[in-house]
This record gives sequence, C-alpha cells and structure tokens, in this order.
Amino acid sequence: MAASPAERAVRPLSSRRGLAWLLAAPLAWLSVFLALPVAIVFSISLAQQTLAMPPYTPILVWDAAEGLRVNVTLEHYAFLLEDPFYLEALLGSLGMAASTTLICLLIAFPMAHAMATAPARWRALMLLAVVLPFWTSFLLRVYAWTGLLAGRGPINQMLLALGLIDSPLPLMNSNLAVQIGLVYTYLPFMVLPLYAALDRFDGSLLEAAADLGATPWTAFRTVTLPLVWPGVVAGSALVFIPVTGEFVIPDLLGGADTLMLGKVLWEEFFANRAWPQAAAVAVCMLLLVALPGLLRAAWEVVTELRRSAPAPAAPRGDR
Amino acid sequence: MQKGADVAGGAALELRSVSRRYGEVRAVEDVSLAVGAGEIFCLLGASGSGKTTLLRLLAGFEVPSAGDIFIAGQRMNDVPPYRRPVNLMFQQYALFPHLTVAENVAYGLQREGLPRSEIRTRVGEMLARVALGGLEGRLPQQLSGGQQQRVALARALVKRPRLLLLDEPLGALDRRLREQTQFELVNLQESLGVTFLVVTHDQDEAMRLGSRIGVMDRGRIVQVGTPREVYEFPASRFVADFVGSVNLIEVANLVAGPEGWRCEALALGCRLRLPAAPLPGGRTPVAVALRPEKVRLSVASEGGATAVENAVAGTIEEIAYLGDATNYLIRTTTGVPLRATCLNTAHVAAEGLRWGDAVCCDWPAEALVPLAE
Repeated sequence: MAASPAERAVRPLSSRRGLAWLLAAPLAWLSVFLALPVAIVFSISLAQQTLAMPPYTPILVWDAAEGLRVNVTLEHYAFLLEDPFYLEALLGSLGMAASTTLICLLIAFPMAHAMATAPARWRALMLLAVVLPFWTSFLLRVYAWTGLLAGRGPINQMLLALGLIDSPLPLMNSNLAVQIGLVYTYLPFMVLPLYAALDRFDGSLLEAAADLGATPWTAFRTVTLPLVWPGVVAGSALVFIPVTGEFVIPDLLGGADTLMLGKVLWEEFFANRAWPQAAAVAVCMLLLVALPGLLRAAWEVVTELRRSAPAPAAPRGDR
Repeated sequence: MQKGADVAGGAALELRSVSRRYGEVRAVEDVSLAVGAGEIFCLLGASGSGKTTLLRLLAGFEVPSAGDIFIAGQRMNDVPPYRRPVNLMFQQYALFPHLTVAENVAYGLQREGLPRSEIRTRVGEMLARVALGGLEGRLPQQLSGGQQQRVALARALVKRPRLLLLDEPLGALDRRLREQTQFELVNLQESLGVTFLVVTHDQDEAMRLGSRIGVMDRGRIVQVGTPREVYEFPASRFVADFVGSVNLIEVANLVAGPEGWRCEALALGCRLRLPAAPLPGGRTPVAVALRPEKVRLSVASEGGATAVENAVAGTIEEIAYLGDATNYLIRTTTGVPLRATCLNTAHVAAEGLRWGDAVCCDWPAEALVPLAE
C-alpha cells in the first residue's frame, strides 16, 4: 500500500536522487518523441495556409522594421466547428471506437477467462494463438479480409451454398466490413490485459462468494468484475484510443459512407495538402483521446491525497 | 428438497455412506457420520486423507458420487453452495481484497437482501464480538494475519449458519497466536451455539478444540470419539500412531485368562498382561499400544530380575529435556527401542537419569491398549 507521509520522509536522500536519474531516461524519451512532435503539430495548426512547401506560413517572423512578430490564427479551429463534416467524422470515429471496444470486450472476456482457467500446459499454446497474428504484417491481414468479404469471396460462397442467401451480400466497402476488420485487428489488445487480470484472480474468492449466498451472476458482478476492472480499463483504452484514429482499416474496407477522423486527417494532409487544418484536427483528436485519461489520473491523485491524509491518526492495530 | 424422515432432531449434520471418487481415485469412501447440534467436531487426518474433500462436499463445492448429505434434516445433495445453511471459513481466508472489513462481513447479509440498518447493526455486533471494532474501514491487506483470521470468522458467522465449516482455522497463525485464538474460537462457539466442523491435520488443534474427533485415513473415517477416547483407546495401529506418540508392540501366543490376556512380546523379549477389554467383532489382539508417559522408569538394581510381566530392562540412549517433561529413548536388551516420557514434577537441579544408565521400564496392565488391526 501507499507509504504514509512519515514513512516517505525517512527514505534516504540518495535513493531519491537515484530515482530522479532513473526517471530521466523515460522523460528524455518522452520529450523527444512525444512532446516535441506534438508541439510541432500544434504550431502548424496555428499557422496560415499558403501555397508553398511546406504549405503553411511560419508562426514566428523576424522583420527588420517591426522586430519579432507572432503570426498565429485560430481560424482552423473555428472551421472545425463551422463545417459539420468534422463533427460527423468525430462522431463516426467515436461510435466505431465504442462499438469495437464493446464487441472486443464481449468476445475477449470469455476467451481470456477460458485461458486463465485452462490447465497450465495449454496456456502457453493459447497465448501463442492470440499473439500469432502479430507475426504477420497487419496490412496483409487487412487485405486478406478484402478477399474474404468480396462479392465472390468465401463467406458469400458459403452462404450461397447453404442456401441462406440468393445473391451475394455487399459485404465489402461498408461499415460492417470496417467493424469486422477493427474487431479482428484489435481483439488481441483486449484479450491480453484481460488475461493478465483474470490470471491473477484468486478463484477461491468465487467460492467464498457462493458460500456467502451469491449466485454465480452476483458473484461475477460483485467480486470478479471489480477485481479485474483494471484489466477491462486497460484493454478498452488499448482498443478505443487507436481505433479513434484508425486510418488503414476504414480506407481499405470502408465505403463512401464510412466517415472517420483518421481518414479525414489523411485526406486533409495528403489529398488537400491542408496541413494547418489537418494539424487542428490532430490536436483536437489528441485532446479528446487524452483528456479522459488525464482527468482520471488527476482524480486518482486527489483521492490518494485524501486517503493518505488522515492515515497517521488511524489506529495502528496489533500489526 | 425432501425432508429426512428419520434424522435425529439434534443432528446438525448427517452423512450416509457418502463417497466421492475421481475416476479410480477414492477421495472419500463410504463415510457415515452424525454431528449433533452445538458440537465442535474435528476431522483429523494427514494431507490426502480426504478431509478437505469431505468439507467441500458439505459446503457444496463437490457433489457426492454416492450417499446422502443431510444438514439440519434437509437433504443437501443437489443444493448449490449459495443456498446451503452452511458457511465455510477458508484456510487462506479468501477475504475480498477490494472490500473493507465491514463490507466483507456485510457481503453475505447483503445477498440475503436484508435492510441496510439491520446489516449495519449485525456487522457492528459481530465485529465487536471478534474484537475488530475500529478497523471497519481497513482493507484486508492492511490487517495482520490474526486480524484477517477474525474477519474471515466474522464474515462466516454473521450469517448465523446452522453449521460452520472451518478449514485449518489456525493453520496460518504463529504458535503464540494459535493458542490464544483456540480459546477465543471455543468461547465464541459456546456463546453462539453454532455447530462447528473443523478440518485439521494438527492433532494438538483437534484435541484442544474438538468435543469429538473423527480420524480420517485414505478417504475413510477410521475412528470417532472424544479426544480422550481417541488418545487412550485408539482403535487401530494407525490411529494410535497418528494421534500422539506411542510404542507399538506386536504380540503373539495369546492366552485368555480370567483377568485378561497373557501374551509374549517377542521383539521386546518380555511377557505382557493385557486388560480384559473385549475387542470389536470378538477379534484377538495382534499388537498393543503403550503411551510413553505410562512407562515408569527406575534405575536397574544390581542383578535385578526382569522376569516379571510388563517390564523390560534397557539402557538410556537419548534424552530430550522439554522443561515440563523429559523424553527418553531406551534401547532394550533385545535392541528394540522403547519411548518413555517422565513429568518433571520435582524442582531439582540434578538430572536423575543420564545417557547410558541401565534402567528398568515397567507399566501397569491397564496402560496397554490391545489392537486388533
């Protein structure tokens, strides 16, 4: 558990200095590969569109007459609100991310549960089966789905042969195809954290719950779910966040009515060469995805502070 | 559920020829047992003797392969664990790590759908009873082992079960805490009037807690009796050896006389006289059990006769001084070891007997327990 403030104070200074050095490496990594690119993208979003290479005006201009001049505009952010297209793309992305997360959760939970309760000798094999798709190219696997879902593809052929349909279903280039591709691709990211959480879960707790009068469903709701919740949250974040910005799958499997932020971003950048507008989309997307996480982290810090504050006054017990 | 017609009114628990087999493995074999209301019954056995399987059969986590289980007169075979009037205190406690002490104890009452105010009162009462008042808001991992044990006990008892099953209740506690907790457990049981069924591999724990003990061996209950009966009158060599320390002496050439059996203990090279207690099934003894503390040690007199019955000469080979008692290992004249325990009742500095001393061991005929198997 968290050390009380008193315990923290007695920790030797040298170990704190060591901790600072230990944190320096990831901090350096984060600033070079995360903070800096984000800063660049943010600065582009404030620049003005121009016909040049790169296609935006510099935001800091040195002028002999006027000195240093800041040349920024918020027009690209304003445009995001003006044109309903962006809001629709955002809602499309969030909707697709939500449904993918939910479907992955429903499929992955029984899978992870079966893996965690399987005999030890089967577990390694089952884990391998989950991770195996990563050994082939992601692009290749998505392309494989274009073949599977095609009008004359094996799925339609099978349904025709079974007499369930009379003419091939238009599976490809639809939101359904995108949904299938997304669930297929992101399922392992849900299975692995859930498996890790369920593997740590002590099965005798369910027996204790049953012994105290809980039906299997109640025991699941009141014991299993709260204890594997961190795994559910981790898996959902690993699916939801990348799906929100997903570009390849909607591009390859989606159709004209597939409207997602990742695709919009790509088109603004590469088709329209509207870098500042694309950067504004990217910044908004980042905020939308990161904000819940940041809020949650802040909330945890607050509750942790609140919990540890009265600790020294609590009875010490016979520990 | 069918009503057990001929179950005695006082029986909290009755097992009729209950067996549990896993393929060829017979974990529990043909166990019949009745435990009266308000009893503390201890199932004593080594690991693998089937005692934990029997406990799980009663809790409902296992289904019997044959036989019937009655709890408070109700047949329980097909009743799931969450509908049984039984609670189990798990060996490793199985406390819910995400719930506070109070929430852990309240869990079972919430499942009954009781009003919130009643739950709060009953949880408060139970926590006070196990001396955990003031720790309601702690999480299990913030408690010591003894505190966790008491939370587990409170959580099981707050449901007011007819029968409380305890799986090695003191197993995870250190020695000093065990003794204290043993008495607390018995006091609690007496004041609440709940029937306890305790599973343990520790004969000390069984002797201290149990009003009766059932000794288990290879899936069967081989003897049921009070601690005194099981210790003083073991039914077999297995029980005599498993409960306490014992000298097992093979006997031959039995002759029945008016005041008991007379026979020879060839290995010890002496003759024995046994009490006239009849053995079950009219069988004849094949061995006798002699508890070490029943053996009397005396310094062998020069050329002392050892021809009398129930006596043997030897030399002291090992001495273990335990404070309250001293254990001796005596090498008898035939080379067979004999164990003797003497209470150190006299407050003296000098040792009475030393290594290598020639001694004479003797014991009263009543101390010998004839064993038919």
